Amino acid sequence: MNKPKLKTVFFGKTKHFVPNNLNVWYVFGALLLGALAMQYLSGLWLAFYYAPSPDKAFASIQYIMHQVHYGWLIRTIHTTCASAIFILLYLHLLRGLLYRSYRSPRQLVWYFGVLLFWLLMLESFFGILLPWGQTSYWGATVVSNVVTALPHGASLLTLLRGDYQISGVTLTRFYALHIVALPILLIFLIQWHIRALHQVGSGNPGLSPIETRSLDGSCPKQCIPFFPEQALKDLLALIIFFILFAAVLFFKPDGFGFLKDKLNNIPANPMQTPETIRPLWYLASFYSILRAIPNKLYGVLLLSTSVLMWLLLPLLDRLSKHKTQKLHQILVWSWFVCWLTLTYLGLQPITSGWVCALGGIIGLYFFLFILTGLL
Amino acid sequence: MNAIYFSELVGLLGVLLILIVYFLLQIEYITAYSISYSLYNAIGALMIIYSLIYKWNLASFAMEGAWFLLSMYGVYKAWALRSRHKK
Repeated sequence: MNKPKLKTVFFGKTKHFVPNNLNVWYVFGALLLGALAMQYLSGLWLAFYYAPSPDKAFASIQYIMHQVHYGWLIRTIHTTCASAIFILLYLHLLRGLLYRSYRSPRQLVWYFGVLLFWLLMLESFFGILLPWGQTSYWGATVVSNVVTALPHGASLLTLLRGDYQISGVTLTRFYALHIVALPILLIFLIQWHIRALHQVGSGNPGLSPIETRSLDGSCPKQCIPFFPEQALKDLLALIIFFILFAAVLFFKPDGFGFLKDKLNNIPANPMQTPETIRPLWYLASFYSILRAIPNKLYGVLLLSTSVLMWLLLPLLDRLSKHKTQKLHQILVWSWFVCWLTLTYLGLQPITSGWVCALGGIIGLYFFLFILTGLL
Repeated sequence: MNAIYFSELVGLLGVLLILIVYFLLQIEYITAYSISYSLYNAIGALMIIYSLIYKWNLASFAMEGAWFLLSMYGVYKAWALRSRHKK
């Protein structure tokens, strides 16, 4: 019997090959894995000290920040890393759009990726309530109220909150979903996303597809082994990411006002509604869509469309055969500028002038997305 | 205070980088003649030197300075070898 080698213990027996023309856009998947690992570890550590009840939650956060050794660091890692994950996720999605990673035969990889995107948004929403500050409480109230626009909305709302208003029951419910149910589901989905990718092989930034699978284990043409060539590039990217992350963590922990809300330093008070409630920056584009439409039901429907539209790309791609790379990339970048504008407007206090502009930008946002899929 | 924490973290990441490429060398995933091996060693040494600016230690600085210079010589040699092979 052959003696097992250390390298097969760590990296498995199967050799993976990747196209030799992969550029810097292709490191974000690995960076996301690194950031998610950091989020799981810091979250586990926070769970040791956090108390999920309305009378203790806020105090336990203060205890972590001021009494626990390096508690401030671990909590800031957890809150900053949530934003970092969304930055990486949007860049990963942007790469998928730019190089049409949703095309056949990678539809399944794309669908799992979109599911991961939705689950991460849910995971972040359930986490918002846990600090039990004013922003947490009223943010969760506003977002959970969205379901009232749907048929049987009142029953759905009670089911989600477990009570007629945000209360201790809601807090324990959100806590269980945030630390148990969704993280387990995320691990499975990440595994399926990577497995599906290994089945079809990685795409490439070039125009023609490159076959990365090998039956006899030899390196296919125009390919390089994933270990160590691409893995070392990913490692260097990971180190650079951690340095940038640490720079934000230690020198700008409030992320230029985007990462921390001062209002959340005040304990939740159901009797006092804050003047303005600002959404998290990574959900602000969806908030823009929601508040631009006066009718609540239509707003929710448009919001759902903006989340579900990602699933359409593999289907749209099949409809048109005349595809131009340059035009496609221009459309993707224009769509991205639209998304940035929506995010910016979602963070601003609304005025009547903005609403008209917002409507136009939202229209352009959907139109460019469909064109991107077609051309 | 935060600058010290940051520099320590950068230094630790440098150590991690050097150890990972050394581990990959030992399990024969990379060779000592590859550009990446020497380049990653040089980057790691630079990161440790950065951390030493905030918590000075002459012996460590001498070690990492020499490590960086030797690694850069390794990068030059691997580069020259690759160019020769291409010709």
